[in-house]
Amino acid sequence: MSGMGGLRLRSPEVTARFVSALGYELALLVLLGGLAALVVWLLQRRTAPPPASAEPPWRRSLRLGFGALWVAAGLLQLQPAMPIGLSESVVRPTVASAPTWLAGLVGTAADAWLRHPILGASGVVWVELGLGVALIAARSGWPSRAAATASAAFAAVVLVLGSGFGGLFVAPYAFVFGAPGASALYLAASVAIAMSTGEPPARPRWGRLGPIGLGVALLAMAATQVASTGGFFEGGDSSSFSAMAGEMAQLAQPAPMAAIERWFASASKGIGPLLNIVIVIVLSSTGVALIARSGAILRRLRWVFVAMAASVWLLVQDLGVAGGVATDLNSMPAWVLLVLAASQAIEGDGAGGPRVVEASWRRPVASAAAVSVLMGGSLMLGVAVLPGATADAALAISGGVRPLSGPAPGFTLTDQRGRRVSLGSLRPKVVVLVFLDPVCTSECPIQAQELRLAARRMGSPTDVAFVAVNANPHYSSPASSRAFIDAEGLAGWRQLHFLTGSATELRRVWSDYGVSVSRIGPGGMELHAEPIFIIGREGQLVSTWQLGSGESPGSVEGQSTVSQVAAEVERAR
Amino acid sequence: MRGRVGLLVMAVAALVAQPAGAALEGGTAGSDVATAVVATGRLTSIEDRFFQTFSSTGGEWRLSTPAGVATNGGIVVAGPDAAALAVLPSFASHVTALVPMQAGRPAGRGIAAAALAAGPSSLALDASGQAVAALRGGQIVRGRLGAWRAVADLRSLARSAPGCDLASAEAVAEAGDGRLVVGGRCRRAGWSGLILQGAGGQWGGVRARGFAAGSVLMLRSEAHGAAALVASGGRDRRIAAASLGRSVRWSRPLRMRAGERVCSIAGGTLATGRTAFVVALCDGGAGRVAVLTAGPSRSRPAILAAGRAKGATAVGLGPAAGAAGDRIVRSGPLASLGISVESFAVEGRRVRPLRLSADGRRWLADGAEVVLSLPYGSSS
Repeated sequence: MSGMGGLRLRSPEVTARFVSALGYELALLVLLGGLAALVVWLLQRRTAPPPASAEPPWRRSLRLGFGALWVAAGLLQLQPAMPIGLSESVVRPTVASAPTWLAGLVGTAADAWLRHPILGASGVVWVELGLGVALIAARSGWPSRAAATASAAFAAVVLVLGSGFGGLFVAPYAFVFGAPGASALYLAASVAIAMSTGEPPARPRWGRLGPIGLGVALLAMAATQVASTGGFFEGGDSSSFSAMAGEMAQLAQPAPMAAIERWFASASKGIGPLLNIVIVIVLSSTGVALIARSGAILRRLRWVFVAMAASVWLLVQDLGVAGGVATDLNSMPAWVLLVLAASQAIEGDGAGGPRVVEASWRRPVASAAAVSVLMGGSLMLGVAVLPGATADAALAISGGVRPLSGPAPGFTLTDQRGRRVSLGSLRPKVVVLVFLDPVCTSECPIQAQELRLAARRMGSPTDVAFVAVNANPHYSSPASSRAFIDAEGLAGWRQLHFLTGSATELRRVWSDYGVSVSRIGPGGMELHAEPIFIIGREGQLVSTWQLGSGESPGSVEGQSTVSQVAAEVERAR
Repeated sequence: MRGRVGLLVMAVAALVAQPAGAALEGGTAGSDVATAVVATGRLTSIEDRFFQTFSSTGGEWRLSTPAGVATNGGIVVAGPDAAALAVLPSFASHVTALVPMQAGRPAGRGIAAAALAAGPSSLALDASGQAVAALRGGQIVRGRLGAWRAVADLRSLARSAPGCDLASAEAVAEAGDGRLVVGGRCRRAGWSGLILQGAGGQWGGVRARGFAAGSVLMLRSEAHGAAALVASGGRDRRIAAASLGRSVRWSRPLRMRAGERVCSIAGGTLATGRTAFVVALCDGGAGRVAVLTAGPSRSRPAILAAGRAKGATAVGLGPAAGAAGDRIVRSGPLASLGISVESFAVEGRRVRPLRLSADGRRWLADGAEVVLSLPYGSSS
């Protein structure tokens, strides 16, 4: 029976490995990015400067605004909880009620992430920071369009694999709860930037489609507030606003934010329906004004929209970052940027801004940012293609490895062949010691297979002994050990010693190693703790942790456990 | 038997999803001990559903589930007077736990053995303690508990009855004179799923005229050889009992209604020497309880009166909601059969033993309610 808990989002060991990886990667980035920037700067000096460009104000707003949002998202990726938390707390919940095909696709991506969580988390850091800096630095010409294209591509990946189409299948799907997903808005903005050369458009009609599309999107968002399955028009305890704010207030966050959420959770019980009416009116009227290209109305209405969005961002979305594992600032800042930019586009009717010569720092900096994107992209590609799993998931489950010192308590028990085996007789081998129940139905069989895989990973070494001590006093005969070994197909594994003995002998070993064994009722198996001990060549304790496994040895948790066992044995050799 | 009255135990718990022909709930009655296997806990959750064993030696049921092993996979009662229990593997386990029993109580520590097939007749013991078992994958083994030698495998059994196209072998019993009978599932019509060993050790399939692809639901070793309860697949579904002595003698079949399935089976030997199978048929409503007997002469199936027990939330004969009282199907010949039929009303961790009244009309309390200390979630 397992003592396995779930994946812990914050594991000091995983965090330490994450910080270490980021440090190495930063050093590499400084080297390669600096080199790229230097080369571009030198080339720039030898060639004619690019012509002055007149970037339209709406494009400038989107480029700088979404560049800043990418940088903020990249910085949020630095959170210690991100390596484990992104797949478990952010990605998987978005497809909890999604169609099978989408749940399968996103689940596969989340599994891949969890196999190499540090690679994935650090990769996203560099991609998002790189995209943000590139958008800000590259003002015009093909570098700017390339940055926007890369931004659109990454946003599309995040939209599908990271958020399950913006939580489309997680009820209630509504504007105030983040629909259609921040990544969808990043994608839209990036496409708009990429489609513009940084000059006033040759065909202004095309440029008008953006505000119209945004207007239609806002009307659709108004519809989500009306038709959502959430109780936006309900008051009292049924109010969706109150429920959401109440949930937010429970999250760990700065005290003032929690106080604001608690206040809003209480206040919205009475004014929830009114609030929703206001939101629907603001969304609808802004949408209609954008479709009608009414600059005069938008000049006033946009600030009403900004005020509404800011209120939702503060009161419902908890600023996007105050609680939980936040990956971005949520949807409201992106909506605001889009509405303001569309308003600028309508006011200026596509006209360009002042014609400005490109500053000399822009392209070298954009080059360094491109290196960051490429490096992060390579790391993420590694997540997709590298086999096996790192030990990180196992560390997150077990709570970390505890180093030990001192002599390992000795024992003499009977192995599956009926021979008496003592711990001392196994010297000078490294001993991997676990406690297994031969009739355990859940995790003992899986753990035995994981140990076998770990042995194979190490090349079935003869200087390592794998010792399983029986953890069930009711099934303690060597025949039971043999039955377990035969049933698990482990008969040919010569390094395995499944040791058993009398109840007294077994209890002494359990006691010496701090393993609790208890009966849990009629029909239930023996409940036993599942520590693993690594014992060095001289019989000294080296380390211990709680074994935890997944549904099968091939699962992410299983493969991660295999890696961890192999790594600890290697350390003890 | 209890005096002249054969005791048949019917544990009915229907919310448990089980494949056809693998009703793991039920019971067996021996000369001294009656044993019932009942699913308890959260019946729709394989993690929180625990099979329990109740034994009765003097008229009172007592819990006799063995300690130290999770019973989610099911429990098989084996041997005369339930001399051993086998706890079937579940989840990731491939190991069966075997527990010797004495007078309805676990006696001594258990041993682990290869995985038995998931059927109520996958282990049988003779009076000397020799065991015969059907393992997962169709291998038939024989010997002392846990120390077995192979007797046959699915391929060799299938070759012996090529017309049957044997898909599985999940039941086994002694058929007298050292011979064995294996119960499985045929893919082709006209065969029963029974593979009988001849005097020379050779195997041969047993035909079943008029049966679509047959599958064996239960086997019992009897003084006259063996007895089997067999179901016919296809549209015209029916069940019939067979006596496997020197010749095969079939009872008249019981036609199953649309939507009916076998929820639990109890087997026992009548004072006349015939074998009786009490079958609970579930259909989402009141359901039916039928008795089929097997012996040297041909018999008709009997429908017992009370379809389900009042307040039995886990009864396979219908949902608990709206049960105002016992629903009477029709008057039955319970008394004339000389048996008593018992069931267990299960509600989570509460189990109430019930007995069908002599006139077959009512379920009566049969002992005190048992409250289990179920370890919910302990096996996951």
